Amino acid sequence: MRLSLLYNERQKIICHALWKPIMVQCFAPGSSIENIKIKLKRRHIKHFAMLWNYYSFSIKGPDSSFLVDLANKVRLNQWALKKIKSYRTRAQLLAMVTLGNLREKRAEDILKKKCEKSNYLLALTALRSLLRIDPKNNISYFINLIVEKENWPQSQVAQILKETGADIISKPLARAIISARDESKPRLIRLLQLAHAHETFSTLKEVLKNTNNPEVISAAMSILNDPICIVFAKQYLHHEMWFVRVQAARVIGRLGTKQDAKILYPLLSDSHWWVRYRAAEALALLPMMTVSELQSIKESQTDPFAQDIMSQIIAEGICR
Amino acid sequence: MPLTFQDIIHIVSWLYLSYFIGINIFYFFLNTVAFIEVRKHLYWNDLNLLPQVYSGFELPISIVAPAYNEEATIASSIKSLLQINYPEYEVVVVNDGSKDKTVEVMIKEFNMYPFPEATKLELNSKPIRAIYKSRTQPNLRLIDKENGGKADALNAGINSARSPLFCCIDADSILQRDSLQHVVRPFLEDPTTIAAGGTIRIANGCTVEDGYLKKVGIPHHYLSLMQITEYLRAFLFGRLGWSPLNAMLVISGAFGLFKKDVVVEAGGYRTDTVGEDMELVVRLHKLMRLNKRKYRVTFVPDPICWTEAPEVFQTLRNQRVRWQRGLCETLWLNRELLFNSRGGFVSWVAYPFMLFFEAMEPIIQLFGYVFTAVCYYFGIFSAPVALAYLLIVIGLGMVLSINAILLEEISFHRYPKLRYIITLFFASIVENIGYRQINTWWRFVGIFKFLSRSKSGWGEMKRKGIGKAGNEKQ
Repeated sequence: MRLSLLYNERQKIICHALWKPIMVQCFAPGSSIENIKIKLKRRHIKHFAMLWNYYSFSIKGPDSSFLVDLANKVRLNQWALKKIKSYRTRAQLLAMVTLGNLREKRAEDILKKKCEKSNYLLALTALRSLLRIDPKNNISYFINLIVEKENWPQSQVAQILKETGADIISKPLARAIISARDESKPRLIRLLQLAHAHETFSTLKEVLKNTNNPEVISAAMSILNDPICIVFAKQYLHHEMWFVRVQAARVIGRLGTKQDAKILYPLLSDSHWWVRYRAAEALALLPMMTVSELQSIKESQTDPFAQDIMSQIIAEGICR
Repeated sequence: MPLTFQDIIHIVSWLYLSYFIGINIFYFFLNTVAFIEVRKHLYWNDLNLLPQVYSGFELPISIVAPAYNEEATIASSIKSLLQINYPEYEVVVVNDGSKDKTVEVMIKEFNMYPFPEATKLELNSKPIRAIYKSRTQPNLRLIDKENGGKADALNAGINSARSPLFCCIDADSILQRDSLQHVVRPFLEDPTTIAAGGTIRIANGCTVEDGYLKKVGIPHHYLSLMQITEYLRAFLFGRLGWSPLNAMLVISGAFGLFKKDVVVEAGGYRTDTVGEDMELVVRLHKLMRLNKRKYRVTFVPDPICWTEAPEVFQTLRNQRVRWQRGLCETLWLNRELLFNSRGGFVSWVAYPFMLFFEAMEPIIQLFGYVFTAVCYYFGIFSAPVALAYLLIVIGLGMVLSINAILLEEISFHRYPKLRYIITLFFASIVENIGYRQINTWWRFVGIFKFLSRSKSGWGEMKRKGIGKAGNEKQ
C-alpha cells in the first residue's frame, strides 16, 4: 500500500513538472498549443485532470480557451466522458468537474441524470458543471431543484450561485421565491443576497406584504437594504418573536436616521439579550450619532440591563 | 441439585468466553463501518484540492479556550488560534482563576483593555472578575473569572460567545489552519447537526513552529508511542464506527464543535464530573432522543487537532484514572438512557457497549486474573487452554490496532516515512503485553475513585513541550 502510494506521488510530481509550465503559459498572451509536442501518458491522466481543473477554476474569461484547447489536444474530454459512467464515485466526481470546465455540451444529458441522485455531493457537482456548460439555459432547472431539495447544504448551493453570477441568477431566483411555499421561503430568501439589488428589493417588498410567517419576515429583513423598506422594520419592532425584533432593530441601524433613535429605546430593556444588543448597536450605527449622545441615552435609561448594554456598545466604539 | 465448585468454574469460563466473543464482534463491526465511512470521506478530499471560494454562508464560530496556569504557553497558543483559516470567528479565552500570570501575559501580548460586556447569563458559572478586549485583535476577548474548574470556565465562555456555534478546545491544543473548515462541514451539510468532533493525534515527536505543526514524526519515548496506536484505534475505528450510526458518545474536550442554543438548552457543562466533555455529549443524545427530536452528532475523521501525550508515568496514570472515572460518572448521571424505549441505537447499543465493554471491562479483566489464580490453586488450571486463550486475546488486540494503522494508511497517511509505520506496527504488538495490563489497573482505580466519590481538580499535566525539549510546564 505504501509502495503504491509512493509510486502515485512520484507520478504526480513527474506529471506536474511536465504540465504545470505548459498550463501556466495560458497567462501569456498569444499562446498556442501547436508547439506542444509532449504526449499525456495514461498513468498521468488523473493527476493531469486535477491540475487542469485547478487552473480552470483559477482563471476566468477568454484566457481559459487555451486550457480547453490543451485538454482537447490530450483528449481529456474523451477520458472524462468515459469516466463519468464509472461505478467509482471519486472517478465520477473528477469527470463531472472536468466536463463542466471543458464546457462539454455532450455531457449535459448525463449530468442532468446525476442531478437526480440522492447523494447530494454527486448531484451538486453535476449541477455546478451544468451551470458552467450553459448557465442561461440551466439556471431554471437548478433553481427548481434547490426549491425542491431542502436538505442540500446551503453554503454549497450559494457557492454555485455565486460562481454563476448575479446577472443570471437574479430573475429566476426572485420568481422562485414569490411562488415558493412559506416553509421554503426563508432558505431561498437568504440566497437572494447573491442577486442584483433591484431584484432583491422588489422581491422582498412583495414577500413582506404577503406574509405573517415570522421565519420569512426575519429572513427577509436580514437582507433588506433599501431605506424605503424601513416602514416594515418599524412595524415589526415589537413582534412577539425575539428573532424578528432582532432583525427589525438591525434594519433601523442599517437604514434609519437619527430621528428613528427613540423607537429603539424600548428594545434596550427587552427580555432577550440579542434584542438589547442589536438595538444598542443600531443606535450607535445611526448617522451622525455621537458617543456623548449615546452616553446621554444610557444615562436616561432606568433599566440596569439597558444601561449595561449601552456601556458595552459605547466601549465597542462602533459609532459611524 | 446444588452447584459444585467445578460447575461454577465451568459457568464462569463460559461467561468469560461469551464476553470475549461479544466485545470482539462489536469491535469488528465498528471496524467494518469505519472502513466504509473512511472511503466515503475520501471523495471530499479530491474536491478539496481544487480552489475553494467562501460563499458567505459559512456559520460564524466562537472558539472557547479555557486556561488555568498557562502563562508559559498561552501567548503562542492564542497567536496560532488567531491564524486559523476561516471567514468569521472569534476567540474567547477564559482564565479560570489561574494562580500564575496568565492574565497579565494575555493583557501584555494582545494589548487588552477592560471591557464592560453585558454578559448573557444563560449558564451558571463562578463570578466573573473582568472581561478584556484586544486593541490589536478585534476578534479576541479574555474572561477573567474565579476558579471553578474546566467545565465552569467553558460555561462562562459559552455565555460570552456570540456565534451560533462554539468550538471548545484546550488552550494547549495544536490546531491545523484548516481545522474549523473541516469540523464545520457536518453543520453545513446537515442543519440538524448539533455537535461534531474531530480526530485528535499525538504531537510528541512532531515539529511545531509558531503554534502550528510543521512536520509529523513519531516519538522515541515508549509511553507516547503506545498512545499513538491507542489514539488511532480510539478515533479511526472507535468514533468513526459509531458516527454513521448517530451513536457517538464521546467528543474529546480537546476539540469539539457544538450548536450553542442546544447546549444551553441542555444546561451546559456539568461541573460535578471529571468527564464533562463526554457527559455533555451523552446528555445531548438524551435530550434529543427522549424528546424525539431529529439531530446528528458527527465525527470528522481528518486529523485536525494535535495534543501532547504524557510521557511521565504518574501523569499518564492520573489521566487514565480520570478518564475512567469520567466514563463511570457519565453513564451513572445519564442512566435513564439505558434500554430506554425512545433512545434508539444509543440506548440499546452504544450505551450498553460503553457500560459493559468499556466501564466494566477492568473489573472483568482483573477478576479473570484472580479467577485464573484460584483455578491454579485448586489444581484445575489448564496451562495449554489458558495460554491459547491469552494468545487469542493478545492476537485480536493486535489485529484491531493494526487495522487502525491500516485505516490511517489508506486514508490520511500522515506518517510520511515507512519507518514510522513499521515502528507503529511493532508498538501495536508490544502494547498488548504489559502496557495494556497496567492501563487496566489504572482504569480499575478510576472505577474505585468513582465509587468512593473522591474530590477532583483541573487535571493538570506535566508536559515537556512539543518540538522543544526541556520546556517543563507544571
